[in-house]
Amino acid sequence: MDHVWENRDLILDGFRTTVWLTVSSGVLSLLFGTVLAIMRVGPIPPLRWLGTTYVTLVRNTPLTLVFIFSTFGLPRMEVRLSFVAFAIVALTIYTTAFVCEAVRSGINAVDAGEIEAARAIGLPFRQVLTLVVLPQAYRAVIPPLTGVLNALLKNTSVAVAFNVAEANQVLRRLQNADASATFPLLFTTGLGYIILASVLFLGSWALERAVDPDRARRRRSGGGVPAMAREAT
Amino acid sequence: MAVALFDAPGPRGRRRILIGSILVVMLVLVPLVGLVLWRLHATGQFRGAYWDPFGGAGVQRILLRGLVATLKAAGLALVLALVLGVLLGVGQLSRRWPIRMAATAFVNLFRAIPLVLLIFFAFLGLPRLGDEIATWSWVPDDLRTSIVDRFDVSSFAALVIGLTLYNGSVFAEIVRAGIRSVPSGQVEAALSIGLTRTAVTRLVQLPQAVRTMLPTLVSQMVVLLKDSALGFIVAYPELLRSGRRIYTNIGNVIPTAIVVATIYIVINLALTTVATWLERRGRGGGRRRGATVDAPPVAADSGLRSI
Repeated sequence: MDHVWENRDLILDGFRTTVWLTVSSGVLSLLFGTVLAIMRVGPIPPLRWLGTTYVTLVRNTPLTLVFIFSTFGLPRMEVRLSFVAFAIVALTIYTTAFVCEAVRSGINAVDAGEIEAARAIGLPFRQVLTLVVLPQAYRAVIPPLTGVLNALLKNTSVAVAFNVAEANQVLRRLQNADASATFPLLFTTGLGYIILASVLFLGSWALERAVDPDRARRRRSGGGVPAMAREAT
Repeated sequence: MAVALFDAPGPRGRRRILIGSILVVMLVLVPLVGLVLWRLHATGQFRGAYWDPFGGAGVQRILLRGLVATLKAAGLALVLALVLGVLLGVGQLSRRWPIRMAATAFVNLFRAIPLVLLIFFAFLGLPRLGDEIATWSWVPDDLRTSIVDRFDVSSFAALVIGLTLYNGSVFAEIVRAGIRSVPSGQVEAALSIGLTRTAVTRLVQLPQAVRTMLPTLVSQMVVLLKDSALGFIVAYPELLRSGRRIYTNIGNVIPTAIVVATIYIVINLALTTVATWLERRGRGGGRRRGATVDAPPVAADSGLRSI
């Protein structure tokens, strides 16, 4: 335990990097994933194909391979970035596909009558989407998106093998220095992830209550799946 | 239910979509693909020296051995995780609260912790535990070395343990949802003809639950197969690690990444096709084609699978 306490600054730095990876690639994936989802439900066939191809390719590739591609492959194409930036690129490429699917399922959850009514009063596709579908989809999509972000939080740990000093790499280094501290180190790191996941789920719960109190209450009283039990597709 | 977000286009709409498509292809697709291909070409990624080795028997044998190692780890983890998943899933629905609490705590704990850390728990933690046990005074002296050896797990064992704990917990949720989907009348009928609780679970609930669970289980196999690539981190010689052996020798990172990705994508697409087929068959073989939006329903399976 002393070993953990003496190196608390290092461990905290590791988790700071973990949080930075999660937040930066989370924001980027939310952005790109939404654009991709709109492409996939839109009327223009080449954009639909592009979106579908991207999601199919990325979803079936291991994240570790995406990391190899960005960290070791991009320099071969004369793209030079820091290791943290390469990790953000890999995590964003990967998570974008899952955000796209989550947003698409949210669009699917919007009541059919709403969409038909919007079309009946003559709204074009863009307005059906921006005025009627997306505002409602974003509410329905908070729980599945939370799952995607939770998976992202855990996925940042893959960066351990790609020269990023995130929580697990700090763990490995400190464990190398003093093997007798193995278990305190493992448990401290595990606890760190549990705390971060709890913060994420509390945030999502508060956000869901803020944007749509009725739905949040319905889900809770209706015996729906509690947010903590949900995970990403 | 698939809903169209836009009306079926008339002649003018079709013309606008056609113009839009052409514009998108000319202004987005061609420049994008062109830029990537040009960068790849300019940095010599297409040169024969990078691609020819894949035609050779040596490199093919390395890849094949890697693929076998991947399938071995994923297969063993799948079987163990299924057993664990059924036990935990049934445990979560147990009428005895200690069993229920323990199973629920186990499932939630192992899903909150990254798989990498679970693998480290096995890879770093178990040998340390062995060293510790060997120093305990009541352990017979002649057993000490064998305990240290036994706990000094291989990278294969560490990977399988990590995959089993994590996927077992995910499977538990799938099993629980599957059992819950069996109508309660089935349980009541089975109880009323005198079956015990255990027999009801074993003979009535589980067999029917399998039907609803099957597509989700097969989809989760894709996740498991992808996760087995984490063996890379503990130097288990699976497919990615074999790829690393190739590109550190030849220096063809991008061609190797493309070849290995293709292998993963082909296997995973085959699994996904099986899952879709099972799902369609389970629904009664109805042929339903969505018009525009055919995303998976939010509630049904997004809560169960994982990235």
